[in-house]
Amino acid sequence: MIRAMAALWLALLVAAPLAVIAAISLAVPDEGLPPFRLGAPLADNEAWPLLAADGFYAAALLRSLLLAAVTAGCCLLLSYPMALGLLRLPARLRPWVVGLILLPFAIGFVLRMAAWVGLLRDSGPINAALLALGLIAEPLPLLYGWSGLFLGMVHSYLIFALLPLYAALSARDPRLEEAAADLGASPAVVFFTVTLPASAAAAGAAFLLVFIPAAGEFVVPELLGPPEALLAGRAIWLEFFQSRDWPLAAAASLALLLVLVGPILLWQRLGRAP
Amino acid sequence: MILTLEGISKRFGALTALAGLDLAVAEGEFLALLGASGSGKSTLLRIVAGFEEPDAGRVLIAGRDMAGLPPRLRPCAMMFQSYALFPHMSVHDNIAYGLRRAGQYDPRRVEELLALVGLSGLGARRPQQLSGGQQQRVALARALARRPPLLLLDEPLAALDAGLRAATGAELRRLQRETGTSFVMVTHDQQEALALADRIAILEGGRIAQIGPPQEVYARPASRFVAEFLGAANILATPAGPAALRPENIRIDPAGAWRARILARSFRGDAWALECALPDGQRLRVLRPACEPVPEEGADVTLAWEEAALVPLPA
Repeated sequence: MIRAMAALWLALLVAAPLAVIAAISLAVPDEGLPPFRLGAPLADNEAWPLLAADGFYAAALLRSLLLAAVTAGCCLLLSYPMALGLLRLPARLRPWVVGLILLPFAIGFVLRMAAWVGLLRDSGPINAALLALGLIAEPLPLLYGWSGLFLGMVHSYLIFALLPLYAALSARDPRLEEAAADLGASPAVVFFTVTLPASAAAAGAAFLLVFIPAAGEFVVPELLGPPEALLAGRAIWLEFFQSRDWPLAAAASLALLLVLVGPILLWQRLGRAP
Repeated sequence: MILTLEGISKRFGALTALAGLDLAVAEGEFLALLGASGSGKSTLLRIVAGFEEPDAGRVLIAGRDMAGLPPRLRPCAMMFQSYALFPHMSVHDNIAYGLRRAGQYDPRRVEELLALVGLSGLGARRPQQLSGGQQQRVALARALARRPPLLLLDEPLAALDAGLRAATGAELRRLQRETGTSFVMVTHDQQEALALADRIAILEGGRIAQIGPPQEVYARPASRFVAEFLGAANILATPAGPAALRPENIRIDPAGAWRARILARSFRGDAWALECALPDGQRLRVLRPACEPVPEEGADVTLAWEEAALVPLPA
């Protein structure tokens, strides 16, 4: 029963939309609504050959993957000390501190991004403070630059890395670290030889849990990022809404998904690891 | 003295784990700390290893005060109850861990340790691929790798099957003799403590109630607690005050002076355990060899014991 429901759900919500997008990607653009014509001979399809031949899309995809990798890396780097710090708190304080960390995420995503815009803009509090302290003469171009983009990305995705890592580290055996310390390891050596390797699968899963959605992220770069940074998400958006080349947009969407199949499968494997 | 503890106290909130405990362990000695669960014996081990700081008192290892020293700088090694083997490392790397930290890594030394615990050829395995008994020996080899003068063992046999325990205990004893390491073993199992240790120390209320060679502590319990804890002695009220009487020292003897009724009997394989009642209502535990005929439950018998079997206790 449950299996049948799941199959139905998957067919309706995953397979069917994917089939529609695949069909559109094989169509040819046309005037009118919808702006494409199905059933054209495959030889007339321009979307896939263009996607493969034009370096513009490959570059956008590569830039997106790089942004996602750096975001996921930063999230992981922040998550380890945060998770370990949380676990050192007295148990009765932990839920409160976790609650404080999650509090910003109770606010709508767009509002949070708007708050970043306010903070980062030339006349915002960060630049005002730096100017007042005499540390800078001109406002730093934080907003609509790479720094603003990374800040927004890391802030948006941090909990996706933090929570699984926190769960994995809270389930670890503290005796392993004690044994390492007893055998002569300093705290840093304990971390790198025991804590980190023993949580490697969880760290990998946490990395991918950020990497996969971040690769297709569209809103954060749009609101905070540099206008010239062409990412996969924006390239797809442009084709859909500006060029109205739906077959090309559909093909680019599928290409992004295909690139992410590997990481998704890897994430599922890591999730099952002990 | 390899280990000297002076007035060690430790509280966890309202709970007093240790209350001014004194202890001295000689070089090359095998000492068993015996106590009920919650008697503070594991806490004591963790204080010696440096995982807990005592609220009061001093820990001296080989005469050096350990105050403020983290575990990695203490000359002792610890073997954990759950073994705490590193699951992401081979057996070889587990054993080499301490040697590498000290810059003393030598594969021959690791091979030597594997041979010492009878695991030659298994160095490439992961701990998860070994049986419980083999894991226990890896943990032992890892703890002994740097030749610590003092090894702390937290319930080293508790995670093993009953059938494996006796043999592994004897193995532990052999290794202790061969390496000349001082062992301080924490256990709740009195058979284990009596069988393996040179001396046993019995913990009660955060202090050592009695310490001495196993035979002596068993034969001459110094307090009611020790008498009842070790060997479940009967406590009799005699004209001269309370006295302990071991269950195995009571005979069923037609010429005996004490009339009693058998309330319950249970067969233990090597012995019969009897629960008897004297006419005044006092209960006595009696232990008789399995080869001896034992009357049914409800039977009236007469019991006897030697006067010398009564151990006077402080009132």
